[in-house]
Amino acid sequence: MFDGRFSDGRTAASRPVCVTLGPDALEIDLGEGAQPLVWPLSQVETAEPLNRSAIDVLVHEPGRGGATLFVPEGIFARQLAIRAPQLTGRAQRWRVARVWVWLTAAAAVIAGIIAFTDISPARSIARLLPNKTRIAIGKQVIASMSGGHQACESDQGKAALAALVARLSAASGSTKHFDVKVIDSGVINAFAAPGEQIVIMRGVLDKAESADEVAGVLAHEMGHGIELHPETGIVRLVGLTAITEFMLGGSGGTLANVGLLLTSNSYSRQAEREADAHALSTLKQAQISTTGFAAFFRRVAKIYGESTDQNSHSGVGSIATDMMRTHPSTAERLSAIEAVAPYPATPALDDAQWRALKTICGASADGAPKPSPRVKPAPSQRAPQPGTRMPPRENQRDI
Amino acid sequence: MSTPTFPPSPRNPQGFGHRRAARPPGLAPPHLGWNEPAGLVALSFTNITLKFVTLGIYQFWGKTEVRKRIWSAIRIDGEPLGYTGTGNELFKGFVVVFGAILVPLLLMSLVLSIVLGPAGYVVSYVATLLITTYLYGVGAYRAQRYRLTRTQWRGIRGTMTGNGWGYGWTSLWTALLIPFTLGWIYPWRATRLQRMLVDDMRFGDQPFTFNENSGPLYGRFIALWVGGLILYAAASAGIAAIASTHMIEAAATQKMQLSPEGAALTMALLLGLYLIGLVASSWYRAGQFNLFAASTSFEGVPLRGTMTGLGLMALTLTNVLFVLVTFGVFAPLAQARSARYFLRHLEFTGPIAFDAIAQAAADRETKGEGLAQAFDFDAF
Repeated sequence: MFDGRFSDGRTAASRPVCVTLGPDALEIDLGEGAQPLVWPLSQVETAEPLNRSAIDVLVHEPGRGGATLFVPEGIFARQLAIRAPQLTGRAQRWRVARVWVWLTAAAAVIAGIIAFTDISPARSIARLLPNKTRIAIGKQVIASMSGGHQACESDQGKAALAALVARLSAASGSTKHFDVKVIDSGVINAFAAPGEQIVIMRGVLDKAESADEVAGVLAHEMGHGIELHPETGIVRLVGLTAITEFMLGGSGGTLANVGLLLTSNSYSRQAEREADAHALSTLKQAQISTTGFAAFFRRVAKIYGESTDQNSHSGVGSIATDMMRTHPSTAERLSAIEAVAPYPATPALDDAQWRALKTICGASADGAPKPSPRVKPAPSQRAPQPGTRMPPRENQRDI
Repeated sequence: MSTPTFPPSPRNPQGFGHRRAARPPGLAPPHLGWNEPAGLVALSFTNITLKFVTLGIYQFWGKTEVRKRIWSAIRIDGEPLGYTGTGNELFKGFVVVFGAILVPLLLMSLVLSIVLGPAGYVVSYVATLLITTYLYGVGAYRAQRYRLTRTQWRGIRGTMTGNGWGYGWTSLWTALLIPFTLGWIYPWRATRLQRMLVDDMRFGDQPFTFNENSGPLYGRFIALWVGGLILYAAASAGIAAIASTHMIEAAATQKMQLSPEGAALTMALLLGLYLIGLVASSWYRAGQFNLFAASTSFEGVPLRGTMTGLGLMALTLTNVLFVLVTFGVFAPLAQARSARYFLRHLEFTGPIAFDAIAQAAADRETKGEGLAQAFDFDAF
């Protein structure tokens, strides 16, 4: 027999009752000669899951309106837990969690299959995007990446660029038509945007010492375009963001963002390797030497103070930095380029064309190209201007 | 704190053993008590583990169990509140909001950017801001309604009579006025929104009423506002002084930058600002809590709030540290501490005739507080 307080669920009054805990039912003696209430233990619920340290229990029986029984005795709680084990916290948690644990395991297996095979849902969706949409998205990416700088329009420069694009397109083995622009910005960067659109910043032309170097950069970006990397990157980013938001209940945490970034970056490094491979095969087909491509890498790396020595990238610390990269290390990329056996080659453009391309953004009075920005480019300049909405990682393709 | 007492039962004519003799019901004010919940540390670890192995999905059930523990810790005249919400409801609410609001908002800003070009960013940014501010208000109301309808005491449920759309609208237009009034609408706004919440609250068939008067808040607000301006000026001067005396030329980039001592001084200054801001805002919030409590009546009996600025500050600071140090694992304990502080500084000023309060026939919502979840805020 236990003392308890009973409320009938019709008013907020409560009255003292005596409670008997039977093997499979609670018996509530309302006193005053009334018929005792019998609540089967298989039907009752408790306000909080039973645990060992409980000092009281609030019981109700969903079938009986809002009637509740409060028994302020710990012994009652422990005896109830023994007779109705489904009311314990452990049982209730596992009943819910096991479904999700199995689903999570299944999701992990599927994710593993995607990671270790060539199946890429993001790329499949990217392939389904209509051309008009891809071009429209690409224009947005370019607008947000060019930070208000205008495209360069000199006729001779455009003709030279068109000649280079035509030569590379013919050699690329793809039927895609590329739309290549030079943007009047001193940043040393080039990127592929969705819809086979490629942007070369004037900084690349300023730093390049031959047309072969620009050809290497352009072939690399065309490789991204052929593989639909920009489109795939955007689809993947939207998808991964949606999934993380969902998992975190809409309150995206910092840790998750780091994970997202690392995942995107690992896809991004893979994409860079693919684009480099395309670039090398395109250059070879076009009979343009790869030494220019390598020379340009070396020069840019030097400007940014990056090591080109393969051996310097070893050890745990450098694995961590590698994970933070969107690109494979310059040393790794250089060694891939330099492994190509020499083949007969001709200059990518003749001297007149190269001069025209170099001055596509206009020239100073003596015919020399515009000077580079006064301040040395710092690595941060590779990031888009503050205030641009598009995240820099996946929808742009830097060299 | 006095121990809650029980009237005598058939087996125990003097009331429960060690407790004091029963007091005649209906004459003393109802006693609001707190019965420290046991096992919250273990529950915190269990919840975080299950959350991890289910990729976050379990959080809805974890949150529900924490609430059940905290609700059960709250005692009115010695009898506990009960929380009858389920993790399933919270999960469903979140899924609905995710599909019906978050995804459409994301798509809207994508489409606007593509169709309108760079102007689309501005349009979609403004539209998203307006829509989310409005929905944030609706969500706050709905969350309270969800929790109240899942709260019961002696089997009687709470409820809200409204649907939150009007509340969302008021919260939106008053928010838009904040910059134009240099913030001076803020106390009035908070009081108006509180009235809209409290006036819709019911316990059983009995309403709560709110006597709207934001006047008393303005004393503290003016002090905060003027103090904030002075502090801002002083902090700017301080940072300028540090910048003028602690700049060195960086070797690598030849750019000027703060010396390590300068950086440390700046950090110390910012930390000091945070602490002063915390003291000031706690003082204001305690005043607001006490005013709102005194403005709220149930069955004609006003409540009384006895929070102090220092007490609230100590609670906030310790909770922030507690949650930060444990990476959020012990958030349930912080939640319980807040609830306890809240309970210990709230009381009824007169007796309530509970026998006369009947169950209200109200609709029960079937989905959880999706909107509130989506915008990441919660009670307590």
